[in-house]
Amino acid sequence: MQIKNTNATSMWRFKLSTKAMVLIPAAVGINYVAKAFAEGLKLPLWLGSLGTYLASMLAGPIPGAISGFINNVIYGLTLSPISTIYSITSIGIGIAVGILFYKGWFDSAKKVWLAGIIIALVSAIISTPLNVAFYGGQTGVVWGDALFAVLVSHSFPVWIASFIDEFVLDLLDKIVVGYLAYFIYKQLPKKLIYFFKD
Amino acid sequence: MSDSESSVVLRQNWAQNIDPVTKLLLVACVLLGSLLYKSLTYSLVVLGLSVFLVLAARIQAKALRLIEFSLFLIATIVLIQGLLYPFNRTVLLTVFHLRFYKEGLLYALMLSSRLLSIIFVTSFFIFTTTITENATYLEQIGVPYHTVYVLISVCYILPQINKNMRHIQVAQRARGVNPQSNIAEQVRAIIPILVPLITKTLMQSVERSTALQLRGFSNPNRQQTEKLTYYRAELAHRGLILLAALLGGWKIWMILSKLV
Repeated sequence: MQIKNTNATSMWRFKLSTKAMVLIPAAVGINYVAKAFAEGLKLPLWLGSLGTYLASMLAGPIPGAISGFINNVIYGLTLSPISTIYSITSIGIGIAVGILFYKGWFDSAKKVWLAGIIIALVSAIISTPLNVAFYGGQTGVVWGDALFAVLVSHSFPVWIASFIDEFVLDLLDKIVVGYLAYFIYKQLPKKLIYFFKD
Repeated sequence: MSDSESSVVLRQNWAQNIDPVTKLLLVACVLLGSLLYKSLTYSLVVLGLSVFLVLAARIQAKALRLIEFSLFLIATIVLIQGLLYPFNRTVLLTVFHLRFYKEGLLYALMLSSRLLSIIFVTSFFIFTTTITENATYLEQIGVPYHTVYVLISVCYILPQINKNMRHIQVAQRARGVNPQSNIAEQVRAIIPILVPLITKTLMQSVERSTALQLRGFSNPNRQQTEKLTYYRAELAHRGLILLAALLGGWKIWMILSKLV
């Protein structure tokens, strides 16, 4: 007779434990601060998913997805109402990071950029229909929209131009955030990592 | 009429007699409703209703400040769609050799109306409710208090993170990290600030978790807080959920009927 180890950690483990309850608001706070940093330095990036990445890496895809979702909802209900609709994208990012981390894509710096490409693809696929519905295909980032304008003026269909606009921005953002999260995760005290992993 | 409705305490402003969940459901309905038709007249009607709501609640000054955040985006929509909208045919005006087309400008106006109506209806929620009221009411209508804690604690944690960030910035500046020079140095200064800030934020989360456990947060016997009463809250919830389902279903039906 086989004995099943019910204590084995599953990627999909989730119960809104006290640990997850305190990690999620912290992740949302990190998203806010990182976004403020990018805006303050006028970087062509959002960096607003750093906390979501870290929450997914520390506690799995579900807490990551919840932090992404809550981040957009709170951001939408305080500063920029339109960002609420992108909460669906944040859920996708949280799940993608959690799965990729569990599968070992964040184990070494050589793999992180590949993980960044996959996360950027997930983000662009979810965001493009929202961009088309609300912004006529634009993303709101100047140089991305300049690319969109060039593509549309060369008779590219709006959906494809919008996807390329979003994907190019996401590609840079998600790879940079991936490396930031990888670097920060490596620097975190081990007791913190084990605390949230339980 | 239920007991809670018969004992409703009327507040001075009519908007405060509407519960936070009804306001959120209203945002969802306007969001779904704004997507229903790709028509300028329809979008302007939705915008008109949202503006009316804001004016009636007397929060127009605050709502206008919220719009400032999206003005740049609206300007780029007008510029790009006015110049490059694929169905552009009729030139409306020429500015510095740039031809703005009527079709593109009308499309940009429709998109802007959609965005503005969402912003206005959201500002109705933002400026007529408080964090404490939202937390108490969510728990009152049966949302698990763990979930309410997660949602509300964000609002209290953010100022703490900002305070930590200022401390770390001062400390790093004292160590020679200067974030006030050129861009390259500013980018390089991100890491020495972000790493300690994130570590500190997570460490404080660990402390918060211990404090919550010690104070018996998971204890099912919760202390009752004062019950909030609103005008016909339950009826409004049911009506708006039904409306949101109808609007969502209608839109899906329209998409599917085009595909078949």
